[in-house]
Amino acid sequence: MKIVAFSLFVLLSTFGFSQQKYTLSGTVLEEETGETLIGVNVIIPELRTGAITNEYGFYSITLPEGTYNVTYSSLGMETRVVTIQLTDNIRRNISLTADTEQLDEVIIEADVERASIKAPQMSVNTLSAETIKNIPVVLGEADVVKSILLLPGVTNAGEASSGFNVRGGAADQNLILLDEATIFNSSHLFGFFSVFNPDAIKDVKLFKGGIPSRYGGRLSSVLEIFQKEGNSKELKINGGIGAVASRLLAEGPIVKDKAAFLVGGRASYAHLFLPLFNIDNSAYFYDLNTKINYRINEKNNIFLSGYFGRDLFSINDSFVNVYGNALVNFRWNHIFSDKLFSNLSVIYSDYYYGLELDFVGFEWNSGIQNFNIKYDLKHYLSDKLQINYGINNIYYVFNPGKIQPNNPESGILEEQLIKKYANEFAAYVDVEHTLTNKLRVQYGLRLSHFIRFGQDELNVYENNNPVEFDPFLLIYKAAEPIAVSNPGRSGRLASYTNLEPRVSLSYTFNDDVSVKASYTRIAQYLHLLSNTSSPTPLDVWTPSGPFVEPQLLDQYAFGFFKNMWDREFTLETEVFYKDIQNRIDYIDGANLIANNAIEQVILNGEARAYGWEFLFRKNTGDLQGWIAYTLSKSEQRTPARNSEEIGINNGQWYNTPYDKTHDIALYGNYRLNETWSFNSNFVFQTGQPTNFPIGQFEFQGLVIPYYGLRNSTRLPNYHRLDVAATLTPRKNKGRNWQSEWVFSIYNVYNRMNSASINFRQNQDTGINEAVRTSIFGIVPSVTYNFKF
Amino acid sequence: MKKYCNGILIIMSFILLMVSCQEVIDVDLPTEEPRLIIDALVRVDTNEAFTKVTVKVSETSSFFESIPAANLQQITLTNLDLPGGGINPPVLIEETPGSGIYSKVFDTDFLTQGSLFLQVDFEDEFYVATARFVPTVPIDNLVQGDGILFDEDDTEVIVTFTDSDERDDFYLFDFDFGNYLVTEDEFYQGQQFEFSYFYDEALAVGDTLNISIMGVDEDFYTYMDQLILQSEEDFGPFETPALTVRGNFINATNIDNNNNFDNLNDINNFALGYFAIVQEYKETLVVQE
Repeated sequence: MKIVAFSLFVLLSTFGFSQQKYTLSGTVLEEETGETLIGVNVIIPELRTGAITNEYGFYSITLPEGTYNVTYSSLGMETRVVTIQLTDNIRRNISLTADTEQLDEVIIEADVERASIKAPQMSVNTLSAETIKNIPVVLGEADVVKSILLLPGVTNAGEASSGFNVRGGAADQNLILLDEATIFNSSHLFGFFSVFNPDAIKDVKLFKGGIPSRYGGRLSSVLEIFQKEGNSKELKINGGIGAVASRLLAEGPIVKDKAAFLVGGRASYAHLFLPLFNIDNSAYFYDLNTKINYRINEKNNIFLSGYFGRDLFSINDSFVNVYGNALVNFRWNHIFSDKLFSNLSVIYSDYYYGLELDFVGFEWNSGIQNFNIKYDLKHYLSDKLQINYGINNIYYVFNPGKIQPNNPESGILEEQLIKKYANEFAAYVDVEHTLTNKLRVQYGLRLSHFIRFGQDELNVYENNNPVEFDPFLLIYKAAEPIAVSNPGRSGRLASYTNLEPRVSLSYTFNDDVSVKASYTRIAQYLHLLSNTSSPTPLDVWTPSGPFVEPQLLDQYAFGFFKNMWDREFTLETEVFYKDIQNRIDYIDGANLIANNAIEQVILNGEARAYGWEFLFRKNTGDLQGWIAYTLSKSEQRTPARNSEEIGINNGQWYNTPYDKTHDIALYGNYRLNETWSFNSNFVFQTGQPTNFPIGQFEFQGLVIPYYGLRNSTRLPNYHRLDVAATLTPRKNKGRNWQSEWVFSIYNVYNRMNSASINFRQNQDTGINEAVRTSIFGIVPSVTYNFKF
Repeated sequence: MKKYCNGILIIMSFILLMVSCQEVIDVDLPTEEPRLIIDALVRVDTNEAFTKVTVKVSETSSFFESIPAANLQQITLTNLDLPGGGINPPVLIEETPGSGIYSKVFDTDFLTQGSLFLQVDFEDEFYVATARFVPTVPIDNLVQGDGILFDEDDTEVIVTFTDSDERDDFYLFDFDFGNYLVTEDEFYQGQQFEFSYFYDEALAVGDTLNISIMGVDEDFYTYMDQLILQSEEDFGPFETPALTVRGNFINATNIDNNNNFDNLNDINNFALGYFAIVQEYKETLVVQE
């Protein structure tokens, strides 16, 4: 690994080193809070070059000897120009002040959300915490996942569905990183809210394609969320009281300018749904974020962060369901030199799912644990060359569930479903290289290696085939195992190695126009077993192994980027094509829950998606916002394995549940004056693919609809309009207590969007009917936010 | 076991229901040519010397129409393990012309031993299925409970039975009024097992509930499990994928075991329904205050 990096270094450093060069490096902080700033543009106007601060606020740029008016700028921050005489390597930490005269007088030079014209990185969208808080959402809870749904290429299965789908990919193909730790379930209350506390968020970045080689393990996207480190200057408290949940966040110095803490909590009100039922129910969630950071010295910085979140449902104590994520994360930033930045992360994370059913007398506890070590280095060789490299190792323990009696009288026998163990290792090199003034390229390689370790029991099948096809009834069904082996934990059931090349390049016509192209190959070794339209907390992750091959993606994307009218507007448009091998498909009637031999109900299929994305954005002024449009297609198929079979769905391509032909999102933010600002969004999506019955039959008094080919019909189109108004009282000026009121209306024109249409026999009349379920009609809400 | 997990999904759906709204709407549905349906579940009480076998045949219709009875050319039931069983097989007779209900009384022993073969001739196609008698255990106790799951009006019935530890058992419960439940003994092998069933429909005091336990094999268990799921209302994220539940009838018209051994060339020509022979124990319960 190191050798590869070193030889690349030798190779690349032979490019023009004639003049004496020095390095300017440092960290950019926010003046008021001491918080490091991500994505600050550090511009050297004299050389028309620049750098951007990394996830930890660090920047480094190597330039010829000289005097430069270095410009530091970032969204919502006052731009600072610092004159630097570069006659030696210089370390310069810079503080920027929040731009209080926001957006009115100062022309913001660089907007983190605006398309980067020059960088080869494409297919990426960034949202600031500010934008996320402004976007109106149902019941007034600001929400990361709901916000990214307004971006082109991102959809979900509708209201009250968890997860999201990027460029026609499945929800289990998103790598969700919270402070570098992988989050397995991103939703509270089955998708009503995401698990990220908006007050604790600093920066959100979504990669939809051209994913750099430092990321891996998920095919469709990377959603990277960085939380605040905590105010190192003074104690600050902020919070909000909303219709569904309230939150409180405290941050402050432990040792001024050196160590800071952040503690944030959020909880929904218990008995949320109680008024609707006159019995003892409750449904609530809470989460807790904690973070401590300590700047040991100029070169070393450590962070310890924790997240703990749980959802709880209980009905009459006869049904109790608890689930959530927990993680602990230790990070150490070390600056080896002005040019070499490193970060070590050690992460333990745990996803738990528990269930108690009193009326059956059982208890079920399941989960995933993973231990993750990452070591990433960023090597800033010159203003034209940066090399990132690192390694990552994750060890997984999958517990599909332990079943126990919940009381001494219960007839249930204790049983541990078979645990699975796996290890995923990866090493990568990623080079960001400016070849000429116009041509920039980012290329890299990721080597991933996956081992599925042995387990207690493993079925053995004739011809190694766990799924049989019945040539008379024309259905797939589970094959009878011919033996059960006991490989033990030390054995290896399977191992896979993949080389994943990634290339992106940009060609700049001038400062405001560029074209970009990228190719990405990614391997994914974990699969979420889910045959419902969107993931549920009950869904079980399963590792690749002897019968389940890793998913492999090839994605090609091409884009055009333009700044217009004095950079007030930007246009980004991209086309993409994705091809996925080994996408799991389920045979008809597959039972995935508490199934010890999942290989008996799945087959390896394939998937493909392609589309066109368009994003037109207004970046400055009192009115800001965007129009996003996506035209796309997402399909999958599972062909016959041989001529004696017909394949799933007769081997034909069929729409994935997240195929949305048209997806339009409009978002606008209008600042009327210092007191009032308004936000609005409109969403239109082609209806979700589904199945309508082509007939019915009766068996023993049951009326049963039956269906044709998979996903051949669609729900009606989905659309809605949301508005919100934010009132910032004038009396806020010059006092410590700052407050605001957010009034919002979700689904203003009360559109009854179909979450589903079900076909059933009415129990009272015996007549068959189609029943549409809509989750939210018009929902007004009020939230009160404060800080002091 | 599996049934309970499906039960969980339904419960979660109810949680969503509390904030959602449901409405009956008009939908235009695609249709296809009618298809034969054969309902041949034979419930056997082994204490009786004779058992009447009743098979109901009908044709599929569009979801909003009624289901018409089918008119067969012939229907026969043979015991393949009896000497000469395949010659002059017993013919089932339609009870009233046009009813689609065909029946015949058999010796119970004829049904409980060996492999039974049902052949249905319809519109010059013939459909065949085989079944074997599956035994079960009696219900130990059946009482009404006062528990509630979602609603004050829920009626709880507590069922107790003792699983046989000699075999892997699959059970089908008929709770009357078209309410069925399947369960397997994976997690209570050989144990006395008690569980609650909650009726959705409002039951009146004095209503008689006929509740039975039936022994089924794994294939029929899977079939009934899917059938129950497809007939139930559920929606949203926990929706079970819609599918056509295929039974165990094979269209044998073109299979000559000479040139043609399977149906791969005619994948759309099949009948719906199932042929199974099960042991049944019945209990009754009168709904109380």
